[in-house]
Amino acid sequence: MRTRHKAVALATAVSILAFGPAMAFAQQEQAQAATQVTVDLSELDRGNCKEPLAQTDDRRWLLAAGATAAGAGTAGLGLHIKRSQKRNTDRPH
Amino acid sequence: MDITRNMNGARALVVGAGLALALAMGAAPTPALAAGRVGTTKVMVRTEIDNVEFKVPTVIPFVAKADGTLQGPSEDATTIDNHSAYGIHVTNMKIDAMNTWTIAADAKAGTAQNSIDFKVGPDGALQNASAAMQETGLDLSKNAAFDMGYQGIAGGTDKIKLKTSGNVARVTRDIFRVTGEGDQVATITWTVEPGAHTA
Repeated sequence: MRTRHKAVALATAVSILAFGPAMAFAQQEQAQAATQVTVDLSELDRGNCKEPLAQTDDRRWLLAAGATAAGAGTAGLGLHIKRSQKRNTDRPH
Repeated sequence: MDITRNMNGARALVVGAGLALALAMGAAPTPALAAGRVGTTKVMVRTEIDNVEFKVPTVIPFVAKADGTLQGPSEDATTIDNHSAYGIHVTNMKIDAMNTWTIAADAKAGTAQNSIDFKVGPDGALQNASAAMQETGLDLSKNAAFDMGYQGIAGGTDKIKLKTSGNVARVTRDIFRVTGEGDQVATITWTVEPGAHTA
């Protein structure tokens, strides 16, 4: 039994010595280089975009704000005229 | 006495003729003797792997469109160049996913977040990245499209122009506010050997 273990160990050692250098040599017979693959949005070609979202939203907001201001101004002017007319009618002739 | 003298003369004549014959043979070399003096020397050449010079792209920067389609750099800008005086061949391509990206065969299929599929390779021989994810990489040793001629060879076959395509889906990573070349999704390791593809 002990002799069999010795034989197995010897065979293993011999195989390592015999094939180890060959395997190492095979690995050396290659040259390697790496390439990174990345993804982002920074260089996106926006030529096919019909409406850049940020600009479109900003312009719409400005238009809405402008219309609101104009409406408020008109309403204020109307109220002022109405008050003036009432003041004129209240004044004794 | 006369007989003896004549015998000596005959001997001298024979010896003289023999000497003349011997000199004649020595002066004219025979083909047999020339063949026996030939020797040969083999002249050999080989290269070491350390002498192989080539360049690969340091980065392939994809840009993601709104629908997830990836837009890669032009093939003229994405090349593997042979800088050796002999032909070389890409034998293996191994891809490792980076960060939290999932490299799939079809990014739009499935449910995984930050899913990407992409192909890279010469025209007509694009290789699917998901197939190169295995531990041993993707064997290209039999693929003639990955051959490169010696540096400066006519026709520009000393380089491989890499085409790229792909898609992303269900992205939660911030790929807008990334610095440098973008968010790294993978690393491709190219293995190169001298020679051409095997049959």
